Amino acid sequence: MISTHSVKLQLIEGLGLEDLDITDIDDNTALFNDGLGLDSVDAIELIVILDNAYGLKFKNMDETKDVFVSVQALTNYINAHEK
Amino acid sequence: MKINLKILGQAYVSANEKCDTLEEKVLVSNMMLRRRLTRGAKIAIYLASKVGYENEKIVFGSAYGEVQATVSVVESIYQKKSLSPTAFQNSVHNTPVSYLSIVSGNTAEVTTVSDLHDTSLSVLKVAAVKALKGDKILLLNIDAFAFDGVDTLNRCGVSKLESGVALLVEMTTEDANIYIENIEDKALSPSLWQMQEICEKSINHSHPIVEIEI
Amino acid sequence: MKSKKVYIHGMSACCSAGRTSTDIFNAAIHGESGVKKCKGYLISGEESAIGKMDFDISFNDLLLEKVKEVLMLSHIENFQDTLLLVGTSVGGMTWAEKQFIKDEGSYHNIELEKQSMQSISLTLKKHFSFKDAMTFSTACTSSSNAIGFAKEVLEAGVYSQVLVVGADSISYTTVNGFNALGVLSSECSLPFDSQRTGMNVAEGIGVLFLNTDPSDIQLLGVGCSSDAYNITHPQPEGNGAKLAMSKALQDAGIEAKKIDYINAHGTGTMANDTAEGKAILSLFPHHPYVGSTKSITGHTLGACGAIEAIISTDIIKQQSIPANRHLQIKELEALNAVQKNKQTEVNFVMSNAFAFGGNNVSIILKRVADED
Repeated sequence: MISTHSVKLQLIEGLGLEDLDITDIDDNTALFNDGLGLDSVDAIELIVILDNAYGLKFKNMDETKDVFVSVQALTNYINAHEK
Repeated sequence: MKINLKILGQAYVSANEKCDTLEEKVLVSNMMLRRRLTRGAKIAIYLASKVGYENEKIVFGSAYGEVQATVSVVESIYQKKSLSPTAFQNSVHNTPVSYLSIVSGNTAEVTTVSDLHDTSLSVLKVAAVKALKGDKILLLNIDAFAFDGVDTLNRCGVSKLESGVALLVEMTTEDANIYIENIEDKALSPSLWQMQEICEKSINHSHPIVEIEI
Repeated sequence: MKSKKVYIHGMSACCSAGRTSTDIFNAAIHGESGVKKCKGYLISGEESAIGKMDFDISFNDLLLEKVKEVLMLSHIENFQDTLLLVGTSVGGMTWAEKQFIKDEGSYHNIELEKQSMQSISLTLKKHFSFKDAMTFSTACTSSSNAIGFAKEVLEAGVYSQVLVVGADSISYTTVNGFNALGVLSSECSLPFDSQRTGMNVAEGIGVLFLNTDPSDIQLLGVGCSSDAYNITHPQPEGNGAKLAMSKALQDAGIEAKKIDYINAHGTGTMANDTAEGKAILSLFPHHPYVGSTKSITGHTLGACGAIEAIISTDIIKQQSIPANRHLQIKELEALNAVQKNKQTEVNFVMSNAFAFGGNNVSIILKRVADED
């Protein structure tokens, strides 16, 4: 089981979010658009990270909509589906 | 044909591994943009800020291009691992000056040439022709090729794995006082030599004007 | 000093749609695409729809064939007084990645001359003597920028002859890279269609000889701009494209309404075609015909500027506009994207190319009538 703490570390490192540390990212803040401000390239990078780290695959971007909402949603998904 | 270029500003950086004075946090305050900058892009933005750049046309040259991004892509392909889209988008030769144009809001013409060891001369000649229309031109030549396999490829034995030169120029009908002598600097990649030579000669000159032969 | 006028003389092209420019133009008129599905490029093992040349001859030999053809068509003995301008985004990467994989992830056989962007020019210099040579590498606008610079050197009298070579071969990097960005289609592209699903990576070579002696095609105007917006996405309203097209019109000294046909960049991606379509509608209220031949040739990346300039000259010479292959429902209603071949008067053609990082180039070609 992974924690939101380690997911945040992966986001910071994997997406190059320099200047941020885990205390800057709330479990329920929106990851895209208004919240953290990630963009469409980040969405694809996140899919790559999840594949390489956990063997998780998405068929298309629609499948990521509910998963990429927040760190909490992402953590829940990883714990439910990790291979 | 000979075209004389007045040097309005000049700057250079070099480091054995990594230039550590690029002021990126100051020059690019937007972290979400800054995090994607390649080494070449950071050097381009830094050098432009040192020569009085004000959104002029840009002529950029890089002998080896975006080496880290290219290596990352090729390694992923070899290992059959998912490719980073950021690495791919950053792997084109134009990347450093594309980021410079984005950061500075520059909608002017930006062009990139790449001719291995002839890169300096290509940059100078292309810029000289473009300067004929009367515009100021920013010239940049950057090599940033530190990566894990660099020793295998560094057959010239270059010790500066990151280096860059910038010149801000405009055409002039005044007589030249700087001429390219092809001075070698073994620490640098030969692709930078002529522009580095002009930079050094113009630094202490009160009114530097270089002759470019095309 | 008055600028000299610049004209195009010998031309030669090849890509998946044809080994000669005539073959390519005929393929466009007949809607015969060179884009085919094949395995072996995507690392996932899936099929991709790409424009691969299949002529039983190496890329380098094709390159030499095209240049020799242009030498013959241009009625000159040799290229000794000619400036060579190459436009390429792949350079020698196709060779380098194959070598790297063959050597199991080692760089020890990677020769910088063979890997570099300069490799195209170095190959040509082994067979021909040129006065000088330069390589432009700005992704998809590479050979368009070479054409633009050709105009500058000829107008200013810096050179009297220029050979532009646009050349890009298919590489694992580009196919997998565009796939990673989510813009690769598994079908033949459908530029400007509301149901389009992306682009097809392709390879090709386009060679043009230019000088200041009158011919039937004048290179009338070139405009360049930067989006200053995003490293991969164009400015959504097409502002960068609009600026390049406006500058081309200004350089040509003609009004927008003179343009009869726009050979669009039209890659088939959602982002490009919407932005470019909006830019065209905003700048050309007289609704010139618009078309993209990338559904026929695929997207030949750095070579597309040269190849599509050649297709545009054939459109002028034949006074015939090919339909946008399989275009069903236009995303932008008002855009005059042709759905049937048109035999019509074509005097001024604009050809666009837009690249990563927001690098934009627009070229205007003019039919030279006898009385000009």
